[in-house]
Amino acid sequence: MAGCERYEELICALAGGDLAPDREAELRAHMAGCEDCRRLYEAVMAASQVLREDMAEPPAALAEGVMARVAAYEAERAEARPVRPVKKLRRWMPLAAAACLAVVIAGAALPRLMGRKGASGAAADAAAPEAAPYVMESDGGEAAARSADMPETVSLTEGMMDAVAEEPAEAEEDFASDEDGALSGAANAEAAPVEPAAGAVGYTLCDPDGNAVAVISDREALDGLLRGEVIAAGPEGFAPMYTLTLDGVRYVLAADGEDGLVWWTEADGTVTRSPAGLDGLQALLD
Amino acid sequence: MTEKEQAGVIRQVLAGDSNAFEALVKAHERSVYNLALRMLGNEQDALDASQEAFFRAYRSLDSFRGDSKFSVWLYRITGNVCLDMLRRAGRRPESSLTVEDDGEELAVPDERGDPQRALERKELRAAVREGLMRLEPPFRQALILRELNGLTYDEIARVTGLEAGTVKSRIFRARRKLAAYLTAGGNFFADGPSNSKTGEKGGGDRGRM
Repeated sequence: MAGCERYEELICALAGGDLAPDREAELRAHMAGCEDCRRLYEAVMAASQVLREDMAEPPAALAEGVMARVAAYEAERAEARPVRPVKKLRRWMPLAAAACLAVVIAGAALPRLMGRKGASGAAADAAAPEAAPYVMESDGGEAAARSADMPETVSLTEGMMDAVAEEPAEAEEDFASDEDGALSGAANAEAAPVEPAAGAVGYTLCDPDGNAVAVISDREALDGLLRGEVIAAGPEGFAPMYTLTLDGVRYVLAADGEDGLVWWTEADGTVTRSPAGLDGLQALLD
Repeated sequence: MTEKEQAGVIRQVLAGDSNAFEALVKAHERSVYNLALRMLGNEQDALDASQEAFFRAYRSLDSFRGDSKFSVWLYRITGNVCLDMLRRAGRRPESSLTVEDDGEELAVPDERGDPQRALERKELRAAVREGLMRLEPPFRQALILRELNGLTYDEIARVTGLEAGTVKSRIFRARRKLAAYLTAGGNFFADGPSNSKTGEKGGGDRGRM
């Protein structure tokens, strides 16, 4: 009908439920006397209703297929990372496990450990097995040590989640107030236990059998790790860091995406990053 | 799942727990699949497109900033996958249009006692599906996002990268075209037998928008 064009858009919007209510009365009045517009309205409304209701159930193959592709994609990515260190790990990790592997989560203390100098003497006293957080050496080769007022660390082999939850609140505050210093320390000292090497895509965390259990790929997750949060559940809740004692020497292990494993030895209460890398540890163990 | 819960799952996935992604797939597979189904017109393509969309979402999950709803972000990916597929397929909307009418068919409970009405309903649904496939893909996409996915005009603008005004006009034209297709095809029996005027009006431009 001539003159109806101006109504069409409004009618379509009304039928689709997209029209402001104050326009409705005018339109209804027009439609009462205009069959064409009424039919347009009815047809749009019917189509709209069908489109909203005509929903099919997705086949189960959908989610299965997606997750299979995700798994294949992750496997491929894992393969693209160096695998040699992990293989070597398999050779000596059973030994490590036999030598009373202690899983240590350093909790809120960890951020302070990075690239800072502390009181070495106090650290030596405090460095009781399974309870000592570790201080990383800075790039200049100076060994840093934990200070005696560090919040207690949590030592555990199981039930890590509980222990983390029970961490004293003051430790959290400690961390918060210290965050800037600690993080900037991390920035200028590659000594941070889990600071990625330039270009590294992420850290692969390994369980004591040398199997990769998780990949940390972003800054937020990394910070979580530094706060001692369990950021990814591995088998039986393994922590992302391990210590082991062999012949009276303590080793702290963390894995990364570059070498597969970063480790430090502990001597006189001081943890030192080994410049020799995995091969050095291997030689030591041989 | 709330946006907050989703954000938690996303963080979990980004931290390396790729299996956690399944929760996001499960939460959105129905809307994503139906969007793809109405865009592409058949179940096999819809399945392929949905999987591709979710996989792309997984790979670029770290680029999701949370400034739109996660679902809206997913629909954008899904829409792009569908439009790519349609481009590659070289426009053959009539392909397997009828396939999805075989078997399946959701029951329409309230019309069970009225076979005639149920038949009309079924015909109407088939006609809407077919009419939808006759719209140009970008118009189809805008209308589906509005009706099926329930997005606002602004959200559709974000998904499609268009101005809100353009979205509005596309949806209007899509609705009008679809209504014309229904009335012209005789699939729509709103108020008695159609008169000649309506037939003319629809018949002339039955086809693509």
